[in-house]
Amino acid sequence: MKNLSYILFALCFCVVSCSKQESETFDHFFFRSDDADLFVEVNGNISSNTFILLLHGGPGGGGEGYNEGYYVDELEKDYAMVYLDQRGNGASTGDYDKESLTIAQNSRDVYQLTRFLKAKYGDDISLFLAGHSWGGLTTCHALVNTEIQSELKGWIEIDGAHDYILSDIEAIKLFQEFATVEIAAGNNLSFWNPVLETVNAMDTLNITDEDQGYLNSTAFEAEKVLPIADPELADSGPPYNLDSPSLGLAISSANSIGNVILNDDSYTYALTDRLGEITLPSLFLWGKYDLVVPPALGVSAFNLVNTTEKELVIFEASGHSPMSNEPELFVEEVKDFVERYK
Amino acid sequence: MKYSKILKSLSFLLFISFSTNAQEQELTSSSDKRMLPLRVSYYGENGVHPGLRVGTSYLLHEKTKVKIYKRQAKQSKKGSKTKYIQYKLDANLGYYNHPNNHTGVLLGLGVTRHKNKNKKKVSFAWSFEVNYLRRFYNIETFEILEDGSINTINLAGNGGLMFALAPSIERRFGEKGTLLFLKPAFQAVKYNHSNFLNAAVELGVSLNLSK
Repeated sequence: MKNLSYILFALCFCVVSCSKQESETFDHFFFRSDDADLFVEVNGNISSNTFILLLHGGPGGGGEGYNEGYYVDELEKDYAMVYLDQRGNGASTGDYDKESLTIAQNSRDVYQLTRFLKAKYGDDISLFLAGHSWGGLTTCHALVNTEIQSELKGWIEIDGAHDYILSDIEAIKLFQEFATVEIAAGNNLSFWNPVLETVNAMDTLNITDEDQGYLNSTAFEAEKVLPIADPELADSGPPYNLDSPSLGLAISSANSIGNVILNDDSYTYALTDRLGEITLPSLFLWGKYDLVVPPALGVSAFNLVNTTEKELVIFEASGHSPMSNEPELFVEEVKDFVERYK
Repeated sequence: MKYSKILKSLSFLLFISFSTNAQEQELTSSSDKRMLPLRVSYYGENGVHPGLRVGTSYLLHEKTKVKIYKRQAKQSKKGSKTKYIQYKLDANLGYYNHPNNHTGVLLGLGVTRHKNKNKKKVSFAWSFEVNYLRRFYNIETFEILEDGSINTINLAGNGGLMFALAPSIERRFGEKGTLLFLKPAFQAVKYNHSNFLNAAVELGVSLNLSK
């Protein structure tokens, strides 16, 4: 029996673990929306009453991947940053059907969350909606398909993919442009020659699944050979965190399958034609060397939104993630916008 | 509806187990059948999410196979090989903690086939388990109602049946038949919109308290 006591004590000791507690600068919870339980983390200056709801990219990302580095440290000093794991991503879970893995449902979730944030933190909070990459599609869809605009002070789109089809067409053009310049300059010929050959063979009226995969993966590879800043400020944090709410084989498997479904659904929305329905103050932040979602999408969005309170910033030394490539300038632009319209 | 399905599944497994037991009654010794060892183990969901599992097992059937080599020379050199095979019904209750996410509670039944050669101290086993896994979120869960008010959902979470196939290695110690075992498990678990592969590992002891 003595041995058993030792064993039980040792096992109980192993089982005890800690997790972060709610505080004035930290809050996390699940938000239930149409059978999904969405993981939400609120970090930063909650008492500022200014909230930025940031939607991650992907599909396949999570709020956790955005909740680190210089830019969040700086923004969290002045504002509360809200990191949402969209349905089928990150630690968001629930008991929902496969049929609800759609952009339309995700944008409804976001709208419900904005209503909830106002109910929880006060109807007088200033709430901004920001989306990076694929998250830009969800934000844009929510803006033109739900009543969310009435809840918000502004929209921040960061290299946002609000039109997948246009994005692919513009990516082909940009690859051709960059490849031609780099080949003429004799730079990285072993990379650019085959790229130019491949994109020249693509038909912009019939971009195949294979083409899409090539464009996306090559865009990230190209960032290694383009003049993109990679400052030490852009610390990506530890590679793996055992406290991660999304750590697990079943979670990553489910998200991988879900992401294929969401990615296919993303191609069914070309929201360029509906940008005129957006009347909110809007800030478009784009990396000049973004071949994943080319700056042409930011330019057209800037021209098409139906407001005079808008700004487009092209980051000269950034690729798909200006918040990591030029974090100081990124923070400056976001703060300037938020202070103006909060 | 879900609960009735689970009850039906567990009842079916119990029925099969005890039916088998009834048929094989004469083949097993009554003293072994009375032994209900206490199994206590560290349960690591995905290896790293710590938990605890307790359970017991009931001997359903055992058989002994003796292998005699046909060649006389080999037989006299190596002697006979004896395999001891036992089938046990296991019942388990466990939990684990996934930090910042949920606490999982498992209730399960399983059948294990233990194999030992020549009464060596180390033996191997395979288990098939059916568990009901209920996840309770570690953090608060809210929803917003139509009238704009917030509803806090108590004991929020999700769950479903979890099937597991688990090989294990066991090491016997002492006279009482205490076992130390290591048991990785490959699971099919309901998560979000479908069933997905998951993994866990158990490291524990089996104690014969009745002796």
